[in-house]
Amino acid sequence: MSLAAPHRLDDDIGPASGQLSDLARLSTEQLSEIRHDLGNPLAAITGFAELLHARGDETTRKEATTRILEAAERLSLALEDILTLIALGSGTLVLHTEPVDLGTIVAEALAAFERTTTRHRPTDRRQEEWPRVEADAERLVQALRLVIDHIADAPSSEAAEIVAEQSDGLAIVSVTSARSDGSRLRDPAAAGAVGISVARALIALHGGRLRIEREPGQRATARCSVPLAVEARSHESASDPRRGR
Amino acid sequence: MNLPRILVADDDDSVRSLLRLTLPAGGVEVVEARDGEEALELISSHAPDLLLLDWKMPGRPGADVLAEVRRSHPTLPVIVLTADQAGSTHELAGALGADTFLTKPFSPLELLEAVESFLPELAGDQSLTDAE
Repeated sequence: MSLAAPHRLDDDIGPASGQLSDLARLSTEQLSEIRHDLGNPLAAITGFAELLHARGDETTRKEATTRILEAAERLSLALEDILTLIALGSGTLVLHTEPVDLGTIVAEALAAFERTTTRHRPTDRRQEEWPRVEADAERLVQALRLVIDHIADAPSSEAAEIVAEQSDGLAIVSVTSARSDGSRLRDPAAAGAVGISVARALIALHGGRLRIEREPGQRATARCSVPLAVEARSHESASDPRRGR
Repeated sequence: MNLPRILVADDDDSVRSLLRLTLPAGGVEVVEARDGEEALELISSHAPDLLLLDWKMPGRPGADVLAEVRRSHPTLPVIVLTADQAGSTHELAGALGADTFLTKPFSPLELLEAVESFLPELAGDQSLTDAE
């Protein structure tokens, strides 16, 4: 896959500097999004708990228990994202990077996505083995989970797609929405959405970039690039005669 | 006998499930939409008696849907569901023609009372109040 400039680039996320302090200044729309992300799981937890209290039938018990646990997981992740946002804004977030397997990171991000939604898990379309990258595993899982959640936002009978490639010392994970209207990204207000802001800042802290491409009527794609681990970079150079040292 | 038909439009499947379970089983027909576009399609095809409308949905948000509903179905009762307690949201929804609001998290009893105010034939349901 080429890294050539897309037809139109809506979000081109540069280095972390100059980005993080902006996170502390939330817009009205972003505050509304946070209320939404907290309010929905909270509504599920309190509502289903009341139903459990009022009705003892098996259908209610099964459904309510499952939904309460799912909502608690969502609430937990939403709180983690808000705390990360605060840490990013205050400049106190420190990464602990080491060589990690990108396949494991992607699998954990997908698993976290699946635990909190009935939306389809993105289909893995990668052609090559996942490379190793230099990353803080926990934070990269969080960033990719947020990207997947954003791109695979709309309920659909089809799944989003996820692919990986390597180029110029970087691993690139691309997530493409299932439908042309299938992600929050079709919503202009979502350009500054909290989740994607946290993801882009986390990826920038890793020395990578998050690019989002979207065109009216086209599927949206998020491309996350992260530096390869040193040994993977050496392997890339050895296997590509254009990149001799 | 035709049951009253309620369209639930919310992108969050947990909230849709909560609304479906709260409404009296056998007393209403529940139709579900997962986004604003689907809600408008189902309003045209299913002619609901009441719309429960989430305010913040991806793509076509509740405000868009409400404005369109008021043009095409001016008498359809609409209960707006929102996590946003900001007065501006309520003002906008009111100006666009919302009949009432429920702020998330809401109690199932609160929901039933709101629904019964528009569909009084459901008022006999005691499934949530007889448990104790």
